[in-house]
Amino acid sequence: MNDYIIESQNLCFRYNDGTKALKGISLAINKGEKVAFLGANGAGKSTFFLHLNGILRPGKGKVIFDGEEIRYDHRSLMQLRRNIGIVFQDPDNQIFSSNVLQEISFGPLNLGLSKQEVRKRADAAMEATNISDLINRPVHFLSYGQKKRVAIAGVLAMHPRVIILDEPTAGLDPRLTLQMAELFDKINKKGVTIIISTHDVDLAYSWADRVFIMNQGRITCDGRPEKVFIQKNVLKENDLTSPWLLDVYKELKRKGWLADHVSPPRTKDDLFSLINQAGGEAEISLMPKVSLIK
Amino acid sequence: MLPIDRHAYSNGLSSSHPAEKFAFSIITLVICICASDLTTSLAVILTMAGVVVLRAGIPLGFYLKLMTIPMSFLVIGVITVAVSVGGASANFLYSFTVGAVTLGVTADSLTLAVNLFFKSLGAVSCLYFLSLTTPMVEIILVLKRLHVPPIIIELMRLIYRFLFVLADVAGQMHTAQSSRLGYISLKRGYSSLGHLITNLFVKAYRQADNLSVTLMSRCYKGDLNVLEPEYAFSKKNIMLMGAADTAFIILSVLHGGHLF
Repeated sequence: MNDYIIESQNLCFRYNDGTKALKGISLAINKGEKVAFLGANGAGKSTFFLHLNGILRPGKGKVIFDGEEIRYDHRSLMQLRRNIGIVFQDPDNQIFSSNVLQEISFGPLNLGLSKQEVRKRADAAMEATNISDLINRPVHFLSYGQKKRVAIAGVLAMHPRVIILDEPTAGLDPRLTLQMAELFDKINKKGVTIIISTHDVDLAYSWADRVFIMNQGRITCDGRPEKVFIQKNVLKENDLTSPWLLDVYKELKRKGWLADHVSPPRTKDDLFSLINQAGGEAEISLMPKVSLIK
Repeated sequence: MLPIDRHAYSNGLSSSHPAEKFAFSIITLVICICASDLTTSLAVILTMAGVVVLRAGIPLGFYLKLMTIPMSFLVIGVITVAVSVGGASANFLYSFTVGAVTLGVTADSLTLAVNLFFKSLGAVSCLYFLSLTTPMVEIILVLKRLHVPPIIIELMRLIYRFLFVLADVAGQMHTAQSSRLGYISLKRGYSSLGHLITNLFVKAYRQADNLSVTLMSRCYKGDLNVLEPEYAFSKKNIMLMGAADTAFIILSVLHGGHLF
């Protein structure tokens, strides 16, 4: 028995129009992991996600959830979808009710829970996503970021073991993006595995435990973010840019201001404490220079 | 449409039970249509205006503007009732002859027209009362309690939600087209509008596809079950509404002598 929550083995998929969207995806995701998928538009991220909850069926290969290969009969699919929730990119595609409470209650009601239990879960989900005050506001008067949080709450209230979010920070301002990352951490602390797709290399670098890079239907690289993003050729082949934290780290190293054994900083605070240590040791007045970096 | 919707969500009566408002509106509507005398119609119009403006707090100007919307239909409709065709009858208050036909207004037809005009206005004000004080979501809820078939309820819910999405998209497309002078001339305008409508259809179709995927992802089994909010009935409201409707009935019986 392993600790994988999701495995995919040689997954291949082709759309009706002949586009080969997935060309043999094999990967395994650990329970409770925070995972980010990166890759250009059309790389196959969303198509892959739709395989994980059985909306799309693979042409070849298989998907394994919690040690069991997924089956496509009605009952198994319902069981799978209560465990794997997907939050789609455009909240307007997902929100079908004009009332926030109705929208959030839809998923849990489908699980056959009692009304009291559904209400309890909906309240908790709204509290977690910080939208409790929107309960009586009609959806068409909500902002994009608010709708996004309603969509997340609707999935959260189903208490899935895995939450997949397709580009959760696309179109959000920097402050909301940070809040999103904090929300994911909060959910993750309760043992929920979180999978996101994003184009934001800085977010993926700082937030994820592991990143997968997709390119034209294949996984081209996977591993811990500081191992993946440091490889110049990987970034180049997949049209990605380097996270700014790593750029600064490399530059500091090149100048000899950081010792060779120092591992890359994952957050801004990590970086600052590295700089402070290095500055203290080498007695170089580093701070004025570094303060230019934002 | 949008301002009405906005008022429906935030007015002085928005916390009242939707069934109360629904019943008051529909019962008064029926009384107003059945009673055939001017006094009842006027009483209904004034009462509804009073409730909407004083109780619900809808601005008077906005309400008056709303009342002018059906006016053009009403006037045209009423004219056709008022004017009757006939031979050279002495009953005409005013008449003129075109060829062999005499067109004119009789005392009876004029009374009928005036009655009809105010009766229609009364009916309209009942419906305005409902739509200005009760959000669509709550009207749907009442219809559901009245056992309207689920398919209609679900369609209403989806249509109401996606009207706004579609209107948003149409607005964005129109802005994008206007920015590139898409409506510079009448001819270009028609062409641009054609493209806009075509794109909107394609977009709506895709949206429907996407929606079914997102619903399936949340264990959709064919029913759009949702939690309904709870409302409390207010005895005071029910009594006031009952009193008003009783008064309308008494009024119509006294004046018309009959209900139909």
